[in-house]
Amino acid sequence: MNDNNKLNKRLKESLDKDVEALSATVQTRLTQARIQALNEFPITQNKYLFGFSFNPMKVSAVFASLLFVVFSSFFILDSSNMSLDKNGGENLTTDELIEAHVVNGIIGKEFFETEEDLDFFENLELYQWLDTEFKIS
Amino acid sequence: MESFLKSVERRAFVVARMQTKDQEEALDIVQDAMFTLVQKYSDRPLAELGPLFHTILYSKINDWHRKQKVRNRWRVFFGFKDFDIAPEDTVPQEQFLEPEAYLEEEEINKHVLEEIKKLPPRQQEALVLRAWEGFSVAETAEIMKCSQGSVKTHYSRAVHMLRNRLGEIGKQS
Repeated sequence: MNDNNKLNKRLKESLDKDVEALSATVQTRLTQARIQALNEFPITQNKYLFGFSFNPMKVSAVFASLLFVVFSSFFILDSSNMSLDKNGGENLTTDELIEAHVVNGIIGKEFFETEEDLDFFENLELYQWLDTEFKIS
Repeated sequence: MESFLKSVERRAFVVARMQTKDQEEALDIVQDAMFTLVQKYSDRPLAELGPLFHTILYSKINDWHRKQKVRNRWRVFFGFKDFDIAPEDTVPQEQFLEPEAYLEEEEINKHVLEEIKKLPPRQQEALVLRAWEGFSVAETAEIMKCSQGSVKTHYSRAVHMLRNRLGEIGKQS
């Protein structure tokens, strides 16, 4: 054991003995201080519920985000329904219906811009081939 | 949290008492550190609590040193004598230098503790955190809020000074 280790060991021993030699009064006061510190902040002790921390800022942020999502989805659904049903839905011609679907993003524009024959899209063998080739399913 | 505080409170008190040389001040500092830890960091995992608690503790101790400095300046300015420190406390205690006094283990421990108390605060911090608490250089640097190089310097100076002062005692295992 080199001198450094011996000195460290001696220091540890001395400090440990000092801890052991603390009077009962000091130990009692430390216990009181600990209990007081733990009791002083009951909110921080009980702030966990199902693993979540309930910080007022975090709660407000989550609530605001939820409100935003609910309202925006409601608005989007409402507007899409309105535009599709503005003429009662059933009264629309095929072209108007397709246009409404394109406007609302239900069908991509490129579907109609392609030069491919529609038969190509209906060719089931093509999809089977794609499935086996790229293992989509 | 309670078991953690229970495990560190006595050691923290010993550290604070060594730094302040005052039991009441040490108790206040430890209590403050415990309050702050519970208030701000009770959501942290157990592994982080050790370094955090020591960071808070040494921050409180440093604050105490700063306040003492300011208080002493005002005392000097107004010409007050510092009656808090007894004159015999400032004089090296010669009886510990007698070889016979080293025979008892208790006396040796007392002497070692006295020598640690005489170290400058930062060296004392580095020594206690590294040698007693077992923190790494990086952890100690984080707790002391300084560079790793400074930790190494403080620690080596403290060890060097203690080795010189303790002489043969430091070599006894």
